[in-house]
Amino acid sequence: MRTSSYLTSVLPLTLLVSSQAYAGNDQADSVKRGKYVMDIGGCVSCHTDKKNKGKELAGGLGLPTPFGTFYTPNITSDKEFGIGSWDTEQFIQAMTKGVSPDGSHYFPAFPYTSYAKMTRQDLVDLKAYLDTVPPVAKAAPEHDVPFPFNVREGMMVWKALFFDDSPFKQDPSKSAEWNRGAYLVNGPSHCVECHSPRNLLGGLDTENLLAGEPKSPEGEKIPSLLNSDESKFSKWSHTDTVFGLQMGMTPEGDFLGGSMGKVIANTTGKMTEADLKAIAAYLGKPDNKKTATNKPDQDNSGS
Amino acid sequence: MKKLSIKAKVAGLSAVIVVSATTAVLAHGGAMGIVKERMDLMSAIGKNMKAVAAMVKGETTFDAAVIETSAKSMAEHSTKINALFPKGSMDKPTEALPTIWEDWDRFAQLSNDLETEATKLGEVATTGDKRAVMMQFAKTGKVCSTCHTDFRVKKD
Repeated sequence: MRTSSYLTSVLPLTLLVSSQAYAGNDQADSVKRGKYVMDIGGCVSCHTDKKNKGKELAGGLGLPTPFGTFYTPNITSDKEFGIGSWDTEQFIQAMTKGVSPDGSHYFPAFPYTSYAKMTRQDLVDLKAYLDTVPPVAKAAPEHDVPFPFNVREGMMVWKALFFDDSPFKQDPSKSAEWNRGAYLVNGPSHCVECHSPRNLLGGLDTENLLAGEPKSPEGEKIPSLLNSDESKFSKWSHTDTVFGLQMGMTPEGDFLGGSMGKVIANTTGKMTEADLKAIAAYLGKPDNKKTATNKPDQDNSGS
Repeated sequence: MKKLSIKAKVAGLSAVIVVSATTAVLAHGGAMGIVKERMDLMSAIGKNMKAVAAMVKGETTFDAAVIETSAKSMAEHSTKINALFPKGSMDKPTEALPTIWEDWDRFAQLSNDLETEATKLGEVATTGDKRAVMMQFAKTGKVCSTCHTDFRVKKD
């Protein structure tokens, strides 16, 4: 069990409270859990314009897409420029239906397509946390998206074609750990959004989820996460996967950067070890040590 | 624990160097001049990190001497980084981003940080405190990740 104790000792993140550990309905607990929900959702990566020294969650980051550049909105508690005036139901509607409080449709650069899978409890907690984020009175720039993609009504058609707003379904034939991983990957952590190919209209190719994207809008090659593919990732062990998500290190000794670097810094690097193991399990990297006979000498066999 | 003779250690280390040089050549096919030089340098740092990581992951036996050697080597390599990134050196197949020169002070600071953190890693290794080594390894890796996030684009 050497490996797991090392990983535990290295990572301050294991001190974080798991979002599954519901310890009552107290508001303070909800805020605390909500902070963790924000981390597993990686809100900071897109809603903070770090490069231009923007304040946390105040938005303004430009997201290049084949349809134009979207600027992320301010999601601080500011009542005018942020989302401080929203109630919890309006927030849940935005996250799971992609509809703003004034009834307009969001562009799917905001991954409500994945957030629709989030549990109500996680969303309530997330809103409780966001309400505590210091307000920033600053408007984000207008989207720079040309006609016809700038027509929000067009989003109704897009949603009818590509948006499945059904909630996350547990697979009873799989372990609780696997299901937790499935929830994270397809829900809050929205891995599928970048690691899957998209069609010409920007809808996810649902037949090929997690099969990678040869050329992202940022010009990166996003790797496949499927073990069936001949990718470097298919050769990663359970430990490699947990370690890679925690610290960004690949089995070759390289450190991931680019957009995944942001994900590691803001999302997976803040996850509990249990959640990282759940993701690894879901991605088909079982933790062999769990079933091994636990003789110290056999420690290496699983990794 | 069996102590390896100095001779055996030197032999082992040379083997590592030869292997890493070969891999670098294969992985950076087509690179020439300064771009090749810095890709090889980065690979060498990667090999050092990999050697320590194997112990952190529990794949190989914890060996303070190997960590110390790897850390020293990394600290030394890191002092060469800045000179290998002259302004506008963007020949294919470089993965460098032009932001390096737009934000040179931060880039240079990160090279400096790598030297600092790697040196500390070497120092911590001599104490034999495994937990401290883990923490310092994570700090060193964070410098690698930060720099790769802001200043590198992976093309394959």
